[in-house]
Amino acid sequence: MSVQATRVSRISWRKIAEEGGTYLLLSIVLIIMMAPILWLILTSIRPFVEIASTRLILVPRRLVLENYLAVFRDYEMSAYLKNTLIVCGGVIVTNLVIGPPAAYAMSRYQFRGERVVFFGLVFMRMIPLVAVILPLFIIFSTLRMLNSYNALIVAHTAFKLPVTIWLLRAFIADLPRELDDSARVDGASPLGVIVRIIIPLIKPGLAATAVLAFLATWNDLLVTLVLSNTIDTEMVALGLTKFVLEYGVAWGPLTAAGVLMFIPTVVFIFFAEKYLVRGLTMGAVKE
Amino acid sequence: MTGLAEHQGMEIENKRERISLRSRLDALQNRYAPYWLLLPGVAIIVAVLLYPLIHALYISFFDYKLARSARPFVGLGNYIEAVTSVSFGTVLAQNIVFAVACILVEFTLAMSAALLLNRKFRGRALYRVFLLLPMLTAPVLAGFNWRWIFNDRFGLMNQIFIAAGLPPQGWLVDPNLARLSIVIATVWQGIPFVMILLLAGLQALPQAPFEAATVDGASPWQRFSLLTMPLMRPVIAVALALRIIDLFRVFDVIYIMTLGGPGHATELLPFYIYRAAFSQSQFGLASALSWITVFITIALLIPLFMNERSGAESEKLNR
Amino acid sequence: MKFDSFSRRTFLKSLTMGAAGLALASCVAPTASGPGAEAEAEPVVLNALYPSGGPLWKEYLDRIAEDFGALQGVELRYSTLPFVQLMDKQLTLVAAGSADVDIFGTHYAQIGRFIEALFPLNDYVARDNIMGSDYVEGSFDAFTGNGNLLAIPYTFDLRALYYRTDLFEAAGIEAPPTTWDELVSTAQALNDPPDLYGYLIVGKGDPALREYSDLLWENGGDFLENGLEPSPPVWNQPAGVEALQWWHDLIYKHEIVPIGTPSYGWEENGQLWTAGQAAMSKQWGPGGSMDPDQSVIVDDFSIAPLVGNKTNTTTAVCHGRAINLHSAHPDEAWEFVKYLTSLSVMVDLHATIGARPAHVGALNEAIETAEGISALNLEASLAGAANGYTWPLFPEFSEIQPILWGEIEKVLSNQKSPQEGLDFAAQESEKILVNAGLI
Repeated sequence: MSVQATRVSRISWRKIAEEGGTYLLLSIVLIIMMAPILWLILTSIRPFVEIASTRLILVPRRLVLENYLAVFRDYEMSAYLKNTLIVCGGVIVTNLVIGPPAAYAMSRYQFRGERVVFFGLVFMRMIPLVAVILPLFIIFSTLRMLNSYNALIVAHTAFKLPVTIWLLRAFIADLPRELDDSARVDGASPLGVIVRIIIPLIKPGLAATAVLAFLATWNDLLVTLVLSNTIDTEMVALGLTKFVLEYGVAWGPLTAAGVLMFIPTVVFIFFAEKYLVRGLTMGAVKE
Repeated sequence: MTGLAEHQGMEIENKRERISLRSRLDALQNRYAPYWLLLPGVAIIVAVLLYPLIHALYISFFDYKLARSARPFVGLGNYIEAVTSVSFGTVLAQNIVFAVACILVEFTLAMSAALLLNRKFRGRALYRVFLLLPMLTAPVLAGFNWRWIFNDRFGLMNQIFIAAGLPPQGWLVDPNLARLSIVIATVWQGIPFVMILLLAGLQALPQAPFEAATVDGASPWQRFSLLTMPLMRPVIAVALALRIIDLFRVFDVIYIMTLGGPGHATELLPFYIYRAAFSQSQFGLASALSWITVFITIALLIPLFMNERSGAESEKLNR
Repeated sequence: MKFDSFSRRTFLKSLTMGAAGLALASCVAPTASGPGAEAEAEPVVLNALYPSGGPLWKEYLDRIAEDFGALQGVELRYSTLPFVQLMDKQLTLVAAGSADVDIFGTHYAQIGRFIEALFPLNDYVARDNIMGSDYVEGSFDAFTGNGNLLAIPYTFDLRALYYRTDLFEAAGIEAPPTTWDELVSTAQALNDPPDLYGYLIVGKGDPALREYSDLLWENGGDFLENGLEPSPPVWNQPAGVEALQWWHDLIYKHEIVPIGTPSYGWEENGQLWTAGQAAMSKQWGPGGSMDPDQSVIVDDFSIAPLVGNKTNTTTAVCHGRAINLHSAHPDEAWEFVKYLTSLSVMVDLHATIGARPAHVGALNEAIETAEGISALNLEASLAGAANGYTWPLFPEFSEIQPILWGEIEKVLSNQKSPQEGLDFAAQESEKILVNAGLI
């Protein structure tokens, strides 16, 4: 920058202005987009008198961690977090185990009913979940599986699988066919080909799958609202609604719980951001 | 001990046999392999998604109310009731206006942000990650956070208004302000999604046409409207399709922020279905509404697809 | 980096075509089977669902579960949900024939929806000599549907007028208001927006309907022509319209309640009160007012009976505890409900949380032993008990309620005039009653 600035050429001045403008505009956008999250964090470290104030107090005058303690002491945050982590782990594993073979079949074979499966998977991405809740509840109730990790994992697995299969299909389609054809001629079974050849080559796809499965499961309210009945399986999104009490919304603890809920997603995304685009478009857009 | 030639001959014979056996096995495997590879995934999807949907379709032909044990078959009665009711028309109109408003704002702002992020500068990756954060917030959390910000007494918005000497506003109270509030909350989560898609599209654009246009003296606006936009069509189509689908599935934000209120002013289709099912216990009607919603979403996607196909064909012709 | 046009096109194509194919393929009618409620050999585990309270409740409910477990050798687990969510959840459970939750929290407001969903308690009550007369007057009748007793009354809910003694003193106002007009003039005298409002009132959802009940009755009106019996709606007659207009005026004409009123439920109302945002408010109980962590008015308020207008009729209702019709352990669940609603446990309930027990004996004991705010609250709220009333409890009325509160919200947010809103609700409700063959 300093080298550029000392030069008096018109073009470099324009460059600096342009770069400065980019920074300025983007910073404005960033501040606006981040403001709600900052406000959430600020609220979580305020004492009650500042939370219940009609006057604007930007920076907390006194920093308190009371809300964070209350979240674990007066509410069941640790149970919510534990349950959510277990279910998320389960969903990631099932998607990574079940997804690749199905995706492989979709991308490498021509078979009767292929189109039905093909369109069916996309259709599943667009149904309103509200539509399946009640029947789903009846099924799990009949199987006596309500209020269990298994039910939550199975349900979330099914909700994520269409995206997973579509996504991995796109990744496998990018691989040259000769790779697995030659292995198949050498006598490897399809499963062997998938495990030994395909999986090592679609690691970014698997990462994208894991990220998406994690995010959707971690953030979901509807499934846990319907399938969980006790503290044994209630997930963190449902936990948030428990800060709405009979005599007031406990905004301090609620925002503290919100921050705690948000941290894992942030950590996850800093590691896996680059896999996100293909995942979000079910493989349709590459980066 | 056998002679070398003989040995070789046997080997070849063996190999041939093995190969033919293998190929027959292969043929068998090839015929059934896709099915058993797909089986676990499809089984779960059928059991957890398809079966409930079909069950909903079945229920939608009955007057299925929990308050009564009699559940008579009514044929298309629920569909007729749904389509002819005043409230359904209102909610559908509201959902469409909501979706259009969100899409306009999201695409304008997301495109601007994506164009900025497409320039090369230091710290770009960091800006990008931070701009993604709203999208990663759980809808429940976003809903609560915006409900808090729009709180008429302690919310940030009115604190700013009061500090500026303006009267506090009923953000979640005045029907139009409430609609604006849910659009803001939704758009806040939608912008990063659209932005990251458009950015991926921008980064994939071929450089040559732009360089040629610059040499020919095209203005930045001309380059954007005549080159960037047409070339970005496919990405925009995908982003649009995904947003349309999701804007007709918005539930958590409404459920947390307004419960559809005041006086149904912010009610969207999923919440309307939820209310029909759980507040009014009309599961038959709710199931019919679910299927109607599915078909509405499809209907909205058809023009997009038609347009996209003709676009793709003209692309081919140009080559 | 490139854009994969093939998968994009198939993707869009699939979106539009997928559903059509599946819809055609899905003409198979599935069969639903209810869960078998077989007995288990393991020690019995009971699950309960309650409306959410707060940190105080958690402590109390944990202790009750432990004590009961020690007494009966039954493991009791529970969860809580906000009231409206709780009702939805319980309805879903029953709709699916689920036995996963044994004990339900219920309420007059919703009992109509649950008439075919709760375990009839008549035999248990007869066997164990539980007398309706031991509970708040009329509560057994209110919890009876189709001749079945569906719940045992738990807490007795009445509101009282809470007011700020410090503000009243500073303004030289000696006594809290007793009529609508006095309420408005007192509130106007103390009004100092945007920091302080004269009064607080709810305006959203189920709470709005509870508030409207009070105003309607206080103004001499009623919901239906024949009171609690199925009959044509009359809330759109002058008494009801005036009541709603008066409410609307509080917000827009007198401006003595915050602009956000139509978005307030009990939570917002209670919270603004404890945060010192208003001089007066109707409350169900002290709630968080006495908790220094949530309240800035700990020593600055008192409690008076509700104001009236043409009458002093007010909402007096009960929360109840009930058993899921599909419970696999109704006997054990009954033992728990009986325990929860017994004299000594209810005395404890008041002592720990300050909730009004629905058990008359416990209520009397509470009145005798209560001190301070708790005593004031009992005295002021029970002053209205003699004028206590409730809304119609037959099942169809629970379908009518959301229609009515939806229209009230519309009126309070200026989308309709009071007459228009109430007329529309009456019209829609009449259809429901006619369809059900009730009028």
